[in-house]
Amino acid sequence: MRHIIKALRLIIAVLWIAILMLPVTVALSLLKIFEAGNNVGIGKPSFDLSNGNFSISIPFYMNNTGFYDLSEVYAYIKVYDGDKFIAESSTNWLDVPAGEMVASNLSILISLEDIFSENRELLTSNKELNVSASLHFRVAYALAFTVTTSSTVQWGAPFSNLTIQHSSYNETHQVFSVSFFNNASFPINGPLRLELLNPSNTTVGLMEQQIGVPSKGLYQGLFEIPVSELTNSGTVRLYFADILIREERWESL
Amino acid sequence: MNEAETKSNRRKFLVKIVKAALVTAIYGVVWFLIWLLLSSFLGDLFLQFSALYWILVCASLFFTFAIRISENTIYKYVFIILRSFFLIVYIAYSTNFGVLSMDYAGFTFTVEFIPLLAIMVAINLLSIARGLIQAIEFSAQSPED
Repeated sequence: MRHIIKALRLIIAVLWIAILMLPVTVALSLLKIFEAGNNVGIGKPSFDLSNGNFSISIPFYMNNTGFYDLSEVYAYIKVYDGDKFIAESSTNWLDVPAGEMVASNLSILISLEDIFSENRELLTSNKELNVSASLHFRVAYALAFTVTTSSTVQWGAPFSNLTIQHSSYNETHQVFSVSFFNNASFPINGPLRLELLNPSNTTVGLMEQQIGVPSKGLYQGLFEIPVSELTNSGTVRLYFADILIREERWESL
Repeated sequence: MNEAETKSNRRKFLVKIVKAALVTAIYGVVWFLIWLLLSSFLGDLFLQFSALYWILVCASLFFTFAIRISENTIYKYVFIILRSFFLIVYIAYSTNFGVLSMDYAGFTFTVEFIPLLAIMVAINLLSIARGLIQAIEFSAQSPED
C-alpha cells in the first residue's frame, strides 16, 4: 500500500509540474513568435459578390518559430444590425507546425440568400452594422486563444436608389427600365432577373441579364420582357441570383 | 486515565494547536505576499479576480489548519479528501469550466484550457484516491482511532 501511495504522490507531483510548466512554456513560445514582428502577416482583404455569394479573402502567413504546433488557426466574423443577428462565417482551419511557415488565404464565404432572406433591406438601404471579428488559435493542442474585437462599419447597399419603371409596351413585350447605384465596397456580378406577374399573381413574363457593376458604379438597364398575355397592371419582382430584391405594383402609363 | 495523563494530553493538544496556527500563519503570509505581487504586477486585471483569490486563500488556510490539527488521526485524511473535492469544484467554477475571458483595450481575450482543467480534476481525483488509501492504511495500523 505504501508503494501505491508513493507512486500516486509521484504521479501527482509530475502532473502538477507539467500543468504549471505548460502555460509558462506556451507564453514563451508565443513571445518567440510575436516578438519578431514579421512572423505573422495579414494582407489587404478583398471582397467579391458573385453568384449569390459574398466572399472575403484575406491573405495570411505565419512563421511558427515557437516550440509548439499551432492548430485551429481561423478567423471568425459575426455581423449584427443593432442587436439583431445577421450573419456569421469562419475561414478554413489552418495548422502551423512548429518550425514551419504557412501562407494561405483565409476565405470567408457567406451565402447572400442566408443573409438577405431575413434582412432584405440591406440590399437597398445603407446601414451601420456591428461587426465582431475574432482570431482563434490553439497552442500545443491544449490551450486555445481567441482575440475578439468589435467595430461598426458603414454598410453601403449594393442596390441603392433602386428604381423599376415601366417604360413602354407593345402586343408582345413590356419594357421596364431598372437603375440602381452600387454603394457597396464590392462589385456585383451575376444574373439580374425581372419577373412580371398579372393581377391574379400568375407569371406572364420574365427576363434575365448578366450584370457586372463595379463598386460605386451606376447600373441602368432596359428589360424588354416577352409576355404571354397583355396586361396593364400587376406586380413586378426583381431578383439578383435568385434573391428577391424588390416586389412592387406597376401600372402602364 | 489519571489527572496527570489528562494534563499531558491537554498540553499536547495545545502544542498541536499552536503549531497548526503557526504553520497556517506562515501560509497566510505567503498567500498575502502572492496577492501583493499579483496585484502590483497585474493591477486592475487581478482585482477582477480578487474575490475568487481570497476564497481560495481562506479555504486553503482552513484546510491547512484542520489537517495540521488532526495530525495522527483519521480526520486528517478526511480533510485531505475534502480539500481535493473543494479544489475540483473551485477550479471548475473559478475558471468558468476552462474558459476565461477578459476585456482589454477594446479587445476581448479568451483563453480556453479545458484539457488542462481535465488534468487538474484528474490530479485531484488521484489525491482523493491517495487520501482514501492513506486512511485505510492508517485505520489498519491503529484501529483504536
